[in-house]
Amino acid sequence: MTAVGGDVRQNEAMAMAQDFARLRFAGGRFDHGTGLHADVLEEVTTYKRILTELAKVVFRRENSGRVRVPKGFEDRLDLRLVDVEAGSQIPVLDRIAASGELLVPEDEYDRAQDLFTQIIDAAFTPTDIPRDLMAVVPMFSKFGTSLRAGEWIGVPNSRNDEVRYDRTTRARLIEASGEPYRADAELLGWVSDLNAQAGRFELRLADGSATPTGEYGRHWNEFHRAVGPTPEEGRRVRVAGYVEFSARGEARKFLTVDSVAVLDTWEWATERIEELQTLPPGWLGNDAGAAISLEAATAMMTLIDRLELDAVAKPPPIFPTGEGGVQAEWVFPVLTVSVESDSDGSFFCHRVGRTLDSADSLDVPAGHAADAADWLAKALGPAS
Amino acid sequence: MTAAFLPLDELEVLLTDNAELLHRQAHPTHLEQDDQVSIMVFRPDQRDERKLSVRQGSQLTAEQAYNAHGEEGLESLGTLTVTVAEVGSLGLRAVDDSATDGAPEAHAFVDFRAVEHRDRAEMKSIAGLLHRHALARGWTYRP
Repeated sequence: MTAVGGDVRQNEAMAMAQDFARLRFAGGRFDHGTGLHADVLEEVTTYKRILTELAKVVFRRENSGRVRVPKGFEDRLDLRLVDVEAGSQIPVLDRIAASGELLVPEDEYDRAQDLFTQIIDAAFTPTDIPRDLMAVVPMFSKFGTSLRAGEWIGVPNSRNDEVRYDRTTRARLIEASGEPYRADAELLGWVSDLNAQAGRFELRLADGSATPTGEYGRHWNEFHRAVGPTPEEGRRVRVAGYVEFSARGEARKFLTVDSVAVLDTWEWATERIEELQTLPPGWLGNDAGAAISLEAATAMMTLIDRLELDAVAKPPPIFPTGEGGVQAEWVFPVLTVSVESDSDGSFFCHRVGRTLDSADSLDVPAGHAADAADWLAKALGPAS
Repeated sequence: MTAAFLPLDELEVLLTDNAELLHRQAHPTHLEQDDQVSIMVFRPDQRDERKLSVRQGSQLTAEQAYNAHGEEGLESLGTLTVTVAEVGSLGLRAVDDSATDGAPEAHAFVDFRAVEHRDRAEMKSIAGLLHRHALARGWTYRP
């Protein structure tokens, strides 16, 4: 390992910003010419994304296995590219404190840097990678995609010691992630089957990605409470346990079930929106699909909170829009109602009946969720 | 309000067989449960330039359309289908552009360009009604 320098700034003014990381891009193209190669920017973005997932692992380790991280956790890693140092190409990343806060000397994100380098170090001995890190290893397939033969990235740990990441390292990690893996997880969905004779349940995941099964054990009551005449008429549940995943990250089965929570509408909406906020930019494919904005997410949660859903209609499914917003929808045989919170937090409410002529809509500026809620209550009234 | 249709390009052909099926792929994030598919499946996104991508049923089955989509590296949970007649009933048209440069196999599009760009309500109304037609038909292919 090689020290690459960089100290935490000590005075009060600097506590708003911290010299966080220097990624060294070296070899090949990076050793010649001036300026920052454009490919570097994409790698920095992926670096941040992986680091965020690793910080969640740190949080879970340090909080007795809690699966959910606190609200706003991901926003705590605000990285700014403040300089490019000479000698290969070294983007210098400062970490900026959230508004009104100061950075603590070391937190989950600093310790996540150590996990990052630990994974790279273990690329040739993947059995050394702890099981809770295996869920993050597939993300390395996106890191270093721009590297050519002879090029490498020096990735620092929290002590600014650097490990080398190159095409071979990446290939070994991709290979390592090609196996099914097991990890602690919390999955959200509906109980699509509950078999008392076999002692088993089946969970249809809310994102439609899989239907893992498992033994319900001591959680019969919770599962039974969530079952409806059909899965879609049942109540959503959040099941935490130790899960086996396919190499592609699809949940296959619960090896253990630690807890089962039956969710009410508000909890469901909150969890669904938080889940959608994890969608990376480009989630639609072909570089389309903006990440869900904080303003859109907050606006929708505020609106749902104001709606007396049980009184007016069934709880809505909530979907991401390609423009960084989210949309709640109520679909009936001859009526379709939707409300979209845009990336700036404004709303667009819409309903259409049998024909185009029956449509009605309302633009609602940001901060006026009550107006959108009133409109929706009227629009949904006849359907309830 | 809808405006006049734009002229078609040289290699684009208007689809006129009202019974022709138009297969549309549903992205995984646009489905919460089997029967809760977002109406956004039928709303053009920024990739589409108001040309909603579909595959022609006269050339590909719903399953083949799903497979062809996947071969382009795009995700789908299954195929939903409307007809040329249903598109026409909403004041739009379906256009075969499979002969244009770089067009995927059997590609066509539902032409939303006739909807004024500013008229978000009408875009959503049309998407909602296409969605209703498709749901009445059910999934035409689920892997």
